[in-house]
Amino acid sequence: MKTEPHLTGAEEIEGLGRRGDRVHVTLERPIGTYSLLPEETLALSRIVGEPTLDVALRATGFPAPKAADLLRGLRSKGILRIGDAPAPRPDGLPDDEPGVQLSPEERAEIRRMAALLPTGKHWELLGVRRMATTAEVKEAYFELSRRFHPDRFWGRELGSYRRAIEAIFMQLKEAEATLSDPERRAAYLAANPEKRTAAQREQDEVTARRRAERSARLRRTNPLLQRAHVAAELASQARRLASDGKYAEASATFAAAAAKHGRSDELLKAAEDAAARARRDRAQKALRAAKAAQAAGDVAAAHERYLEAAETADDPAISVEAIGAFLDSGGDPARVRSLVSGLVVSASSNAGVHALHGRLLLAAGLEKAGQAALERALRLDPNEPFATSLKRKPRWPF
Amino acid sequence: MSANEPTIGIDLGTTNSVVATVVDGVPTVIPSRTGARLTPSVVAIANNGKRLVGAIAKRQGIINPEQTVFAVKRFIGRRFSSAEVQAAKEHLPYPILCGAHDDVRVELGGVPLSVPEISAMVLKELKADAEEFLGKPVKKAVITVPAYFNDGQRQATKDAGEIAGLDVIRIINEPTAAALAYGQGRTISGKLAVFDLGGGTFDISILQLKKGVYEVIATSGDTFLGGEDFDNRVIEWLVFGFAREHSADLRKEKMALQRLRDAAEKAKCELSTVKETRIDLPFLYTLPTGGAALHLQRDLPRDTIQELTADLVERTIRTTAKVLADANLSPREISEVVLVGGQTRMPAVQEAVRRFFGKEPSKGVHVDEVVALGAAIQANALTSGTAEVLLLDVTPQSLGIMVAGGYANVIIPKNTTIPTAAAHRFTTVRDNQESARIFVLQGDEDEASKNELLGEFVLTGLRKAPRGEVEIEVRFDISADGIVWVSAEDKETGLQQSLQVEPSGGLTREELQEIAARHQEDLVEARPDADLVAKVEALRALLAETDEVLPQVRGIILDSTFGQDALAKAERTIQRARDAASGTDAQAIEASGADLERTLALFKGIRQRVLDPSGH
Repeated sequence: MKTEPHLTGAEEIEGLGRRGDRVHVTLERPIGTYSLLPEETLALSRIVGEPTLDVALRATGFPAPKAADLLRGLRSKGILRIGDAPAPRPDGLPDDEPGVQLSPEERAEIRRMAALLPTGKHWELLGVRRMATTAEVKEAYFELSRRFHPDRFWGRELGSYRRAIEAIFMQLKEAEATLSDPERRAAYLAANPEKRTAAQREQDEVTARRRAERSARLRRTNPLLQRAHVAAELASQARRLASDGKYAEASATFAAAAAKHGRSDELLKAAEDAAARARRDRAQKALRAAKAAQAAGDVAAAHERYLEAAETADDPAISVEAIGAFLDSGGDPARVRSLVSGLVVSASSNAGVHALHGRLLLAAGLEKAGQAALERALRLDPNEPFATSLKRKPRWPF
Repeated sequence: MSANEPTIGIDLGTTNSVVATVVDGVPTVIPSRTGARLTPSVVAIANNGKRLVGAIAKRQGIINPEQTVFAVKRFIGRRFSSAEVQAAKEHLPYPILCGAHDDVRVELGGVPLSVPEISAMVLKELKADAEEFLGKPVKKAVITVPAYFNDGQRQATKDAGEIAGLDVIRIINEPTAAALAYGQGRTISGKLAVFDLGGGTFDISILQLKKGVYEVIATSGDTFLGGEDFDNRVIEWLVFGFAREHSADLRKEKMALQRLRDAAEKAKCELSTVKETRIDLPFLYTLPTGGAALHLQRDLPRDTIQELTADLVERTIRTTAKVLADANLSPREISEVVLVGGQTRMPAVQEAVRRFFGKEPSKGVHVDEVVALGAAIQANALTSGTAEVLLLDVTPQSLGIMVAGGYANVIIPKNTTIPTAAAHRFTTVRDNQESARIFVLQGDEDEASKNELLGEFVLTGLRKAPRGEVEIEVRFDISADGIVWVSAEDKETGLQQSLQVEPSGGLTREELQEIAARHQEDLVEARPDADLVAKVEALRALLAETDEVLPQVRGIILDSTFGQDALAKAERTIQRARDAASGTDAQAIEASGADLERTLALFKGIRQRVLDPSGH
């Protein structure tokens, strides 16, 4: 069995070194060129900047034996050194490479960027805020491209700096492409949550508190802001209700928020949507109740619930199912006639509606019109069950 | 870096070529030694055996159609067996042959020449023009190609430059070059569309501009759609009309076809400004059955040419719509549209562009010169290291490898900004597969065989394992100058194999070296000063004549009084002329030429008296 390095308290960690040994990350090339396992990449990103082996092992976030394995893997790939020797430059670019035609300032600039590559975040590389707009991202990318595109160094002897320059530009492009595309950006931000220090977090809390106090003060003195505040409160309450599935209440609350806010199209639409959801829920509930009643033998109650479902549903499929069940269970066709004619107009592309219509017409003795309606249903959906069951009967003209 | 070494930009066009340079920060077109700003991309061997390039070659095309080569750009880097070459062959008055590597060869003066060699003749002419203009030798050049040229075509263009003695520092896309020139001196921010309909190719590129950075967003095109196709429609219309009237096929008559070609091009150009033009070709054809020569006379209204070419215009708009879709843009998001290429002068083309983009295309640039100016700007930007301009270019076509089943697997998709690198993992298809053959492909077709094969290599020594177990990582690297590196690595063993993709454009490395060496001699021979060459030629002709006459009169002179002195003097004159003829001193050539002419006249007089004593 493997030892559990940072739990056993042993000073020596198997195959790695001593607990207090310094850990150096020594990336010499862009990280993509090292062929790391996904876990290794993750572990590496977490241990950068951690001072000692002990802390680094914990920082990986993996259980102890796995963490030690990962560190061993990273060390065997030449990315990690453990021990007291001074770390070489993180960018691996020599200061005094002979023949390289770059000024000291250019070297420094390239080294600074190269050092950001292995672990740096896209926004750090571009030097923009985490929440920078697409325009800001583009602007930064263009500005940095002007400095780091390989063409800028055309015809010069660059030695080991050539690869670094190419890698910098490629990473700039990658950063720009990721942060300019809303979907990729969202995924990237989610995968790279902002790490904040304790001091920063404290600062954040102070800022948030100050902001709340300030807006409360403003609300007290400004009636317009107060209304807006109430509207916002109502809207968030409505959202909670909607997420709890209480659509009818959510719709009313949204409407109230809209009224407070003074004509917010967004809120009115939310109210409408919630109302529609509420109706759908009610229809589905009525349909379930009707089926239960029918199963229990209470046909009359089932009929009433079927009709309720058919009337409240905003989805023609539910209406069709309810009316079909109503008729199948011996309901009076006259009671659904106006409902079906309404559907024929409002949901004219639904095959089931036309099949129902045909069924009613046939029941009323209107053979020709009934057949026509069934044919229409079959045209819309060749597999409409009711229409096929009627039409499939072959009728020979002789 | 040498800031004072001059650089040039060359637009090597299908019909015309232009050379430009940057003088004191200002991009400038270099006029030819005869003062023209466009040099026709035409090469000919005249009836007297002289090689002609440019306007002078084009002018004698009518009387020498089989030895006048034009529009070779359509064949550069293409396979002889390709459908495009076979189709284009129909319209050509000059003979083309199949080379040893299925490349196209043009027979000129009895010698089958490769297409890069022909192009090199034009490039050499432009180089000489530039050297004359700048007063010093020029080597470094940026040459433009249509955006949709594949790697083979680009490489062949580079080869042409090498043969011409140029150091081709970069091949860039024509529409991109046009954008560079268009943006020069303007402060543009936004998205720019370059609609480039030239003599032989159509290109469309979308760029994002900001503070001197030109980022290509998407690019596409059609390498077999251009002004020549518009000409061909007019030619066909004339030929069919003539056939209906006289039951004679003009296409079989090389000289008639050449005259038709010139007339069609001229009529097309005129119709850009006038509503109707007349095509008048007297004595065009004599029926095999004899009789008087037939004339061709037809009125061509603008409406008719628009009808004849409507589908060609439509094709450009379809390609444009596709490239916008690739870039996820709507026509309204384009802030400026630049027209490039002579064919965009056609009102129907301008109207189609206007309708598609919903805005007036920019007219601020010279459609024929803008590409060369852009190439010169890029050449200057690269070499000066301080220029304000940076071009972020893309791969015009996807790159990938062939996978089992004959499909192409894209590794670097088209319109990817270069430099770039990407890797995909593949696996073995058979149990105990010991080697993997990697075919490197360029193109956007799913079927591997429909794409261009750039190269191939084999990764051997794979570990024996059931199929699907050995993982092979194939990695593509494209540098800023468009050079492609492909490597394959067995992830388990670290076994690696790589290839620098260097398609030869139909020529092998050895062939290219041999051609370059052959033309190196040419280079020494062909003086940039055509005038001087003519004088030397004249002097040599005089010397040859003198050599012929002298033996006939030598005896007579020696017999006469003071004959000895006279002969010695004449021989000194001849020797001076001979020395001058092998040198480059224009004054010596001229002076000795005059002396020799007098001497020769004297000799001829003597011979006349001797051979025709009746004159006494």
